Amino acid sequence: MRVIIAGAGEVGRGVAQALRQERRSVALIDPDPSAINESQSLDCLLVTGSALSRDSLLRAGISDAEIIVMATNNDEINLLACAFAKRVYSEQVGDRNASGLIAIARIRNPNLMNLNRGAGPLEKWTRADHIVCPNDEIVDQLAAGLLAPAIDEILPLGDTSWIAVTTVEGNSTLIGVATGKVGEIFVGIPPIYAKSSAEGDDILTNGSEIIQEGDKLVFVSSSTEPFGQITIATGRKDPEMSDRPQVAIFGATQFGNKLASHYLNIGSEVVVIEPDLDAANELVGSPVGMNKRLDVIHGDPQDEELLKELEIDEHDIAVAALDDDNLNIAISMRAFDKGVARTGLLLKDRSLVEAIQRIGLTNPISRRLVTITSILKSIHMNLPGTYQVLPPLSSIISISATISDENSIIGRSIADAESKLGVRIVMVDREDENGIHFVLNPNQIESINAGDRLYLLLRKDDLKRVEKTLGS
Amino acid sequence: MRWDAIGLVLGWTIRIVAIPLAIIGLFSAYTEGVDYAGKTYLIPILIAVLVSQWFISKAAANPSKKRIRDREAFVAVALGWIPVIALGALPYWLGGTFFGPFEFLAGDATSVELLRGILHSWFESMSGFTTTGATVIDPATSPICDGSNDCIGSQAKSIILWRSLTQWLGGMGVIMLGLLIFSTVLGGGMNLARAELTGPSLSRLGPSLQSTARRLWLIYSALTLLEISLLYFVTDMSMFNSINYSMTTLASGGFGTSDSGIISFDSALIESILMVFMLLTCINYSLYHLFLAGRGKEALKDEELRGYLLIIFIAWLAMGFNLVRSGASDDGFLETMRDAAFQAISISSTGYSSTDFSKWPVFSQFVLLLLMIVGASAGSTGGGLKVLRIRIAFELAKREVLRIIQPKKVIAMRVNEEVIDEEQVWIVIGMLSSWMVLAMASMLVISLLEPGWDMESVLSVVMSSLGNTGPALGNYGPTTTWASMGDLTLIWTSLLMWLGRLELLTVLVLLHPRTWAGSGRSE
Repeated sequence: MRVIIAGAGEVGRGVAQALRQERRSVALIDPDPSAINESQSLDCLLVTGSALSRDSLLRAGISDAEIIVMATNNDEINLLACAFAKRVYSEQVGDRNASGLIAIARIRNPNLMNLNRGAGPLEKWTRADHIVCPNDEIVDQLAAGLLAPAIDEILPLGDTSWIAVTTVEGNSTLIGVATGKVGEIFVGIPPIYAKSSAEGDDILTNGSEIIQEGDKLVFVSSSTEPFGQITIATGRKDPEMSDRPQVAIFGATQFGNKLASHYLNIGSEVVVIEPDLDAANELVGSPVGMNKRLDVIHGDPQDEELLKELEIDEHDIAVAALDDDNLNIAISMRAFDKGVARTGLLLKDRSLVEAIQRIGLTNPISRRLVTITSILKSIHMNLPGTYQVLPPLSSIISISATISDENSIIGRSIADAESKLGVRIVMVDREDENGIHFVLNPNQIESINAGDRLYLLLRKDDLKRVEKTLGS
Repeated sequence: MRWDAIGLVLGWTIRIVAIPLAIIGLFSAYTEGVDYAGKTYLIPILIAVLVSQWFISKAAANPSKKRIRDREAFVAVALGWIPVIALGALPYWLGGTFFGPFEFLAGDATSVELLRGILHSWFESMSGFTTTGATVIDPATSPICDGSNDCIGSQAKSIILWRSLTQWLGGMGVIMLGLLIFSTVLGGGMNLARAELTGPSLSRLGPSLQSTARRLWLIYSALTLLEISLLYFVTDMSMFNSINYSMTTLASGGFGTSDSGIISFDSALIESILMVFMLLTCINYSLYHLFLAGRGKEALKDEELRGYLLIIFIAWLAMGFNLVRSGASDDGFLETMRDAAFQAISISSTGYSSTDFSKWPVFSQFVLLLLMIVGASAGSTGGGLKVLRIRIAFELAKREVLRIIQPKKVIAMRVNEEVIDEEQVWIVIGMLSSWMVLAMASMLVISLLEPGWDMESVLSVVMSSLGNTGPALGNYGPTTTWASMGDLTLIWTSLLMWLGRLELLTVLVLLHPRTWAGSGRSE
């Protein structure tokens, strides 16, 4: 089984790398020889050519492919190429509907999906099975991180749930408590599914482990509400913030605007500072711009006088969402310096995220990293596989898999299935008879049904075995 | 300047005006006899046919290969009114409403009276086509009604009908007709739509300007027929009066069929029907289109419509309160409120009067003056500055105040949730400032020309002319004609009507030397 990725940019390479770690066969297509050159280190089939070329697709082995990902930097090409790839696939395989090939298109411009102003629904006419436009995820992840800056890592799981990883401080009331008993002390705190000791031993919990200072605990929560409790329980402290924080956003970019509307929706006062007058006008003229709690300021985000005039130090949250990584770093650091307790920034470059995290003053999100995760998520809607790596616990990963009709764990209880597979089941996505999806906590489930989509935490070493059991 | 293109437009406009003239001519032949119809209507028709033929053949000899540009469009619209008004004036002059050539030849008029007859006919026609509704038909000016109690009523029926018809045509016709001609003949219709800058753009109604014009005419005619039938069948108004009043209501014109106009009916029912239709014609016609397209909710949400209704409502309450409290009205409470409502609706453009409001307390008169200035909605048949422009001006003022507080804040001005383009704002500012300058200058000129007038008369006559309202205050209230004004004042006010009807800028374009730069069709 092969996965073809068109576009060997940072996103395409990131997806290829993750898939290679799952030991899948990957082919990368890109018309730019230098991009192909940079991908040499990945153990992939490299094809220099366009996604809209029959020859390139044939050389990449489309007749053997199960999934094709269109991740070039042109939205229109990505959409068109899905239909084209399916056409070529049907010619080669003789499968008229190309049902054996799953096409995933990544797009950057969310307006394309709009039913009225754009060309939506794209799935209906492009023949793409999944459209990946992770703008919402990027904003949600950034906003979730800013909600509880004391938590080390907050990662999305599925569409609505979160994985929170945090370290236990010396003053934590959890010290000495068994992982299974945490819910008795802190009512409403989400369950702990994995833990890593100060020495670096990562384990999946069974409820009997005693929590000690320096442990890293992995919580899985179906909303952002319990974040505050997790922070308090682990002996950490978030800066004070009202229910309706005052927010400053630098950059009326796509993401800046989305963040603004996110905070306006929860009742915040938002000020957006944008150096480009056209972009500022566009935001003001958009439906979001009608909100009375939004102020759009045209000015240089680095202008000291302007920041003083806006009383930036009075804000609870500051986010740098401009298109320039370096500028974003400078601005968010400066906002932190001026006394904004919660600052965040958007980065394109994945490698910068770690560096910024190490400095530890501000909360960075890499757009490309989120995009890669989203593409992987779409890929794994169809194949079981790595869903999310948890950077603080290097040997624990999360995967998701759909239970097929003849799987042996159907009918078993969650505890049964967990002991059989040697994993922790953290979430179940179930479809009812009307085709509506519900995300359920494991304790809401009596037995596993066919068609359920399970989200699991497991040890990296067990991946092959688990995948085999789940029917990869 | 491409004169061939303008000539073609003028030719067609004149030719089309000959049609209603012919219809009234037939009516006149039936009611007043062939002789009267011949001298009053046949001559203008012949002139119209000859002149239009000359214009069209001139243009046809040199067919324009280029599309019409903005400046030609503006010039054609502005100039197109002149021959139309001149043609429209001829029946008054020839038919004996004012001193004309037949009275002169018979020795009943001096040469000065003959010339003044031309001026008065011109004024009456201008007041008709611009839907102003001010009249100079008075025992002092009209030979027909010497010593008569009802000077307008003693005119030939066809003349009264022609007066109303000029308003009906002026209300929408000439401009829309112009649009139609432009898009058919020259394919430059869109430029004209800009010349008549209004709110929700006219072009949105239909795929082409022609279909838009056709639909607007259809709505206009349907409303007129509806009003005629209501007035005729529900009230005791005669068919002749129903037709006349319906045409002048829908045009927001205000011409009546007798000297005392609406006052003579003194009927709550008639006034109510007129009020409804005056309101209906003062709202943007594209909203009717929305209604017909099943988007009535959207139409009701229109901010200009709501603003207009709110202004009228507040003015009504304020004047009603003032009238009742001051005891200025001898009538009962209900009748006073009815008069206040009728005047509030009427003064914003139509200009009918159900009572002599020049005797009202100053506050109420001042409210009426303000209503005259504000006028009706954009895209309606009404005049004045238009609610939309006032609204944009308010938004602009608000924005500038906010900008003083927060100089770097980006602020969008919205109407109906849509952002107003900066360019549109500048056109509005341009219009408002030229209006200011023109109003000030006119007040100066008129006060110089008419040393005997009081301030109130000067102010209100200027506002009434510019806003195409009709009646003014002071010496020129609803029961007085404008016949006693000096000749130069009449010329000046008729110019103001023309400017007001064409939203100022369209005419002011004519004054700019750049419009005329590079004359000659080789351009």
